[in-house]
Amino acid sequence: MTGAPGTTPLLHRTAVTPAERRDWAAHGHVALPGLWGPGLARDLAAECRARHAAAGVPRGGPRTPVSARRAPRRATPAAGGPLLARIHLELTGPARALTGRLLVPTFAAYGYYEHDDEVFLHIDTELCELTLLTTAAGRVGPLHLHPGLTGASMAELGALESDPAWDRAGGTPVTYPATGVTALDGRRLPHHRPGRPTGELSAVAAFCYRSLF
Amino acid sequence: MDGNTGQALVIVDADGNYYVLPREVVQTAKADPASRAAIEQHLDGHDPVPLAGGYSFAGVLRLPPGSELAHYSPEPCWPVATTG
Repeated sequence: MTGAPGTTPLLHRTAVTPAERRDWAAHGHVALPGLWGPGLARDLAAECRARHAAAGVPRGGPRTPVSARRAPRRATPAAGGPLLARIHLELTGPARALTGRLLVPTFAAYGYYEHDDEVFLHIDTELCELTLLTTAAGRVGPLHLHPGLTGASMAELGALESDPAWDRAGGTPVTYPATGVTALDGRRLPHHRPGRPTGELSAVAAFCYRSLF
Repeated sequence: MDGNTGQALVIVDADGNYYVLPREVVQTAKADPASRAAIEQHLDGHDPVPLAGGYSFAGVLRLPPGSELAHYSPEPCWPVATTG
């Protein structure tokens, strides 16, 4: 599954190294750099910015229940795009090679951080047995992973988010490679981004997969 | 691969190349039992060939065009905080 017949592949590599597979199995996250070149990164950023006008608050996705005091000013709007969708399909091979599972694509989206890049503590839905993440535009801070909270429910994660004493700087910070993705077992590993002013329109592209069987 | 007696399943191609599938990879690939009928529907139908350790070779999966998009949606999702 490497794109439509007759089209030039977008990815520079689709193989996953043994070291990447080992890191994935050991930690539930791994950076896969060098999947594409700077030209595709520029095209992705251009599509991302162009699709911002069409972005809206999505109906689906993880919902972190927080107190009214902790509620965000505005939810993160999201949108799709044809280039994003093509990359999503082409990444199916690396996704399978990494996980050893017959994964299929579910959805891909640009998530737009218009003022700050905060993400509330959550685990991903069943649509995201594997999530591949990259910075599509601007600058986005590291995602903080919380292996120590594995198994917590969304209600429990929401209670932490609502607790002023919870250390929002905690967790294992992971960044995204410029011309590749960070693979995340976000269904199992709770994660959040502390949030900082972006200063410009910034966006993450997320590619999600689930098992066919 | 019961107990500690087997670390990997090994298959071999027509050129004699071995493919060593570690126990952990095999376990990761375990399908949802609810998908049993759907899998059997797409196997090239022959009787399972016994391998070892209780495993058998069930066949090659041949999926119809479009089946890989069975769970695909063009509608984006994203994490959101909710109150109340």
